[in-house]
Amino acid sequence: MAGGLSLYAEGSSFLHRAHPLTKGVLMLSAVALAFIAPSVGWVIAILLLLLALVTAAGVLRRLLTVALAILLPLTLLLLAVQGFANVNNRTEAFALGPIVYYREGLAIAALAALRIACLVCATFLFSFTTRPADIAEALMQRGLSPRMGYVVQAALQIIPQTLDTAGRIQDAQRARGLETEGSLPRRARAYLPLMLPLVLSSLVATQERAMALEVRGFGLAVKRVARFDFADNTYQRVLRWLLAVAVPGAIVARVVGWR
Amino acid sequence: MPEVRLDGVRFAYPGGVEVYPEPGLTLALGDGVTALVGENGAGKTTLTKLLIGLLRPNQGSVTVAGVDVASATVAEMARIVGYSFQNPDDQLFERTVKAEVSFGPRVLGKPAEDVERGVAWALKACGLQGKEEVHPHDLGLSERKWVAIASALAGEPKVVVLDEPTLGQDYPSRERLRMLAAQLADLGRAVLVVTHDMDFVGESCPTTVVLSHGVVRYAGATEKAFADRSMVDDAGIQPPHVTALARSLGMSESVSEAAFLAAIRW
Repeated sequence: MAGGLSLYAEGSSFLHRAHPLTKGVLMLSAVALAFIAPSVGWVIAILLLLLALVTAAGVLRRLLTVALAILLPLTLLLLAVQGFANVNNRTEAFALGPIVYYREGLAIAALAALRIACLVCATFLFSFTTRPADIAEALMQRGLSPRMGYVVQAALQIIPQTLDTAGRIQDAQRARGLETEGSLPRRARAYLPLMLPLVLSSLVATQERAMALEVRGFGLAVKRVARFDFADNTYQRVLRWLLAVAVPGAIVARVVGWR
Repeated sequence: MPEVRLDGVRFAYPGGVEVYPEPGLTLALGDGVTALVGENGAGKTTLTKLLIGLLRPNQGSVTVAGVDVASATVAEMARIVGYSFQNPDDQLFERTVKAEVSFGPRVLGKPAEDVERGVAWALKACGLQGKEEVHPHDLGLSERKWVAIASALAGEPKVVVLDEPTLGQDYPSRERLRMLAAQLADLGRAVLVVTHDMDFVGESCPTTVVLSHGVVRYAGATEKAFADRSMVDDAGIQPPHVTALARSLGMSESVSEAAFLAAIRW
């Protein structure tokens, strides 16, 4: 009764139906533009656009559940480290007794946190609306070698797959009396019994998967028959090109003085 | 007094998949060997995880050996319930078989002499004598499975859960498993075997519980577990081969080879 091994959420939105390459280019360019953009305003605009797409895809609730768990502690850490300890801190925002919090650090932390929020949103938007198998298939239809296609697919599946295995291992060790929660020393003691089976099973699974692929003729140098054709159209092709051009364009703009 | 009791248990996985529908699961099991059978997704593994506290019911109560599971941690329940999971590789991490088998009782803080006794008994019962110093990953799947079973037994628990113990086992291993189940029953332990192997059920489990879609369809003597053919079909299980043979010969229901041979001789 474990969950599936992909983050894909069933749906019929235009993003679910879009060509995997369009969504891939959208994700990569949104992340790149968020990191190239010079000010908080631009990054907020990209984030809002991504959130609008997430809402349109019907996965907002799911995104918030996972994204907040990642972003909240990270943002608090950034705000604390940058606001108190950045070397460029000059202007006092407020003081807690002898400890001073600075505006410069706050601005740097806010920009970094927003950029990471864009990265998380774009990545999950892509993962929630695209089946891992579709990504590899779409790339292979565009000339990517089957070996590389498999690497792409495996890389996208490895996190949920590992989480699933880790859950089973945790259950097995807890059932033997291992305490995996509580104080730091207790957690430290649980580290080896949890990590070693995970590493060993990953190695074994990799080896077995490689053999299973080879015995099914994965290594044959023949042109493969596509499993299916993805719906593509002029609008999507134009959008992909525009996004692909936007990234180097933004880099050039930054170089010539976009502030 | 039953070793395991579930009263009106309802449980849903995150995402809303409800396992035991209204009015919830109610079941009482005594000592001896009980088979828990049913189709995939019937709620068998969920039930066994509820016994050790890995899952907590949304409603109802679970009592094991007189202990209310709701009031105990998983580690506390591990003193009472020995649990062998389907895939042994989910737990093996020590350098030797003996270290692996003694891990549970050591973690539970049992006295050294109890650990030694429990480990020695478990290693012998599981046919691992002479392999104490072997690395568990140098063993084949079947023997790794035995290491996992020995780990579950080394703490001398009152209740033993074996999840698919016959999977990947050859005939001698199945025989050893059958003898082990009988041995545990003689020691007054309650053994719950989750399995799809009906031949093993017929040979080794005097009691059977049939779960289907989260509902107990049958709980009682194994000899009568397969009599209701429509229930058996609904639950996605197949009677033991010997039962099918007895039926095709027009004989009375037999679930074990011994019972079948006795009926023929008669």
